[in-house]
Amino acid sequence: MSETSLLRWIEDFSRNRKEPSWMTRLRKAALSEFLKMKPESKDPEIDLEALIASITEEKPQISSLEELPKEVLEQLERLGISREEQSIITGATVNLDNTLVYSNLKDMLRKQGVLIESTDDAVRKYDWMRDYMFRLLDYRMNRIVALHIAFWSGGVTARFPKDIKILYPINAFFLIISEGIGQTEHTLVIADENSEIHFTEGCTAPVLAKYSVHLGGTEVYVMKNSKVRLTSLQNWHGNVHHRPVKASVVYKNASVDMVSINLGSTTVYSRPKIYLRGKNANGISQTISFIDKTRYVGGGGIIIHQAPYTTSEILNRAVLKDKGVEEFHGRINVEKSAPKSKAHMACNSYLISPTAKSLTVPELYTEIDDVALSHEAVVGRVGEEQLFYLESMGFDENESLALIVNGFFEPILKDLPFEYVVEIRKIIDLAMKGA
Amino acid sequence: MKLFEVKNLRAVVENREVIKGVSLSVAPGEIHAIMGPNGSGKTSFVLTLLGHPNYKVIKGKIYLEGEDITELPPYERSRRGLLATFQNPPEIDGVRVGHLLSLISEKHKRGEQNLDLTKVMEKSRLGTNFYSRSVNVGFSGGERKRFEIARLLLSNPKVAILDEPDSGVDVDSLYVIVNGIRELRSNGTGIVVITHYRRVLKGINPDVVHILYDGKIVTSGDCELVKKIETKGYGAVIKNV
Repeated sequence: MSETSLLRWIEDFSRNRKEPSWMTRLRKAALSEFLKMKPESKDPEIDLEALIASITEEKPQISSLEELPKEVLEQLERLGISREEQSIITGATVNLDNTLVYSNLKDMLRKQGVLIESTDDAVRKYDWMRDYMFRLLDYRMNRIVALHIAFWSGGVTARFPKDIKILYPINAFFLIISEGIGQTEHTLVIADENSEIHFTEGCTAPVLAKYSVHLGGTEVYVMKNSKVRLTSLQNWHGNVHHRPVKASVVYKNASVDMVSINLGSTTVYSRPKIYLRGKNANGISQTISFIDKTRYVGGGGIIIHQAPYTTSEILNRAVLKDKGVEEFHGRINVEKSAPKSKAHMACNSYLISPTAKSLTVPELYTEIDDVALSHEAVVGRVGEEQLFYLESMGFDENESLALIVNGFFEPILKDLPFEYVVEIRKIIDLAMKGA
Repeated sequence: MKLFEVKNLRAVVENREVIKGVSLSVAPGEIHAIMGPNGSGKTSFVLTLLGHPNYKVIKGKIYLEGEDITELPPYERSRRGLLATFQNPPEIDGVRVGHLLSLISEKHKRGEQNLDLTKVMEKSRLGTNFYSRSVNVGFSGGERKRFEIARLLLSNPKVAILDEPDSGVDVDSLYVIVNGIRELRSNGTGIVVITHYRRVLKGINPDVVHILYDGKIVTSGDCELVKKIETKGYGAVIKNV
């Protein structure tokens, strides 16, 4: 397709979705920017026509979980959400390919003033969406962001009112169930002043995808005195290239903790961005990855300090096996407006096989002197003495490795929802068995 | 059939011979003490029995209940009932004591009966706060030794090898260790205790005392041998050979 016909297509697409004109303009601007940009080495091959075909394809119309295919249900069960008790304690939405199909506890949350909608509906319904959608993610940032903005579809928008504290995690699940799809959902979380939220996203593909690109996007707004934790677990099976784009902004006395857990996908590249915009704001970007076979995981957080007394941490933990490759590019930027800021970056990698590789590139930039920035990196091999100690207790080599690896992830796993931890441990145990 | 038999065992580590022909036979409920000066090969002997990858057996055999286990990997020996406590157990970050002990108790249960973890923890004087601690991380000397005893008891061993269970411990921990060994003995476990000190041996009354020197058992006897060493030093018993 030529640029003109692509732009015409995107205009029709937006119009058919009954989107406001600001969104149509954004999509078009993002697409023309995308076409101008040169692919980077980390970019997966993107077939625009296939992407278009998959986005416009008829989506299964499912109104309740029971109508989902059996293997999808099993997957959900493993994540613990179809159980009766789960549906009582957690609020969950399920995104099937790009279509929002199910959301339990929506009513209960709504009664407390929480708005949970599909992002498609939210864009159509609310004018204020214009002030948040793609204000943190800008199509000029890079090619993948531009592509996401041009082609986004589906996803969840959640807006939490002032003073609300929700102690249980609110889950959104994204599933790839058809082949060749480019999933492009957009998640928007707005936590109004003095609120506390734990939002979790689970991405998984119960079917083995032949070739698929995940181009999801997430924007998080953390208003004054609020606390938001966003946990993203991805366990895409098959030849999936995971390229999520994420950004959040944190205002005065507020904090955000963005946790990414990478267990699947052939390649992953992600650099979540956090803007610390108010005094005393705190941002934490954590990644844990299990990288086996010939998989590649790249990225690391970017934190931008824009106000005084802001604090941040970028924490990275990876276990590498076989010919797994990890490249960490963490970056901390302190602007002139952010004196007395503190930032710390820590990279901890565990190599299980001699053929695995880990590369760490930490970047610390500051425009002023009055700050404290630090970095540490540790790359280690699993200790022979630890292995022997566990084997002498009756655990075979794989069981011992799984114990050590799970232990290594423990500091980040300890605060996660129970069902996530169970799932993660199961995946690691399974992967170790293939040693 | 003997419970545990070591026949003329010789082992090398990095081409250096460290065990130079050791034989030993332990019956159910029997306690063997192995003493000897530093560097005589006591820990090497334990690691060879357990199947440590760095210790290669060049001659001799190890039998457990008549089965030749000389070539088995460590976990297979363990699963058959050969268990040991370590002199310097390594730290394992993030692996919780409670989790590990429950896995051990499941792995080594006999029949349907799991040993009561809470009771074992009480006996080992490890408080409930221990369940959530990482294995050996930040443990005091005594805590390490008591944790080793706890996991040994939970493993239902047929043969237990304790490598210096009493080094650097206070009286309370010693009490836990001595009681642990007594309990194992009354359950019919064959026991090998490596130690430098008489105080633990006084509590458990070993049936046989062996003196290991330069990779060989140079003499064996009863508790009188221990007294002799305490008063006259190893020189007296080693020279007599």
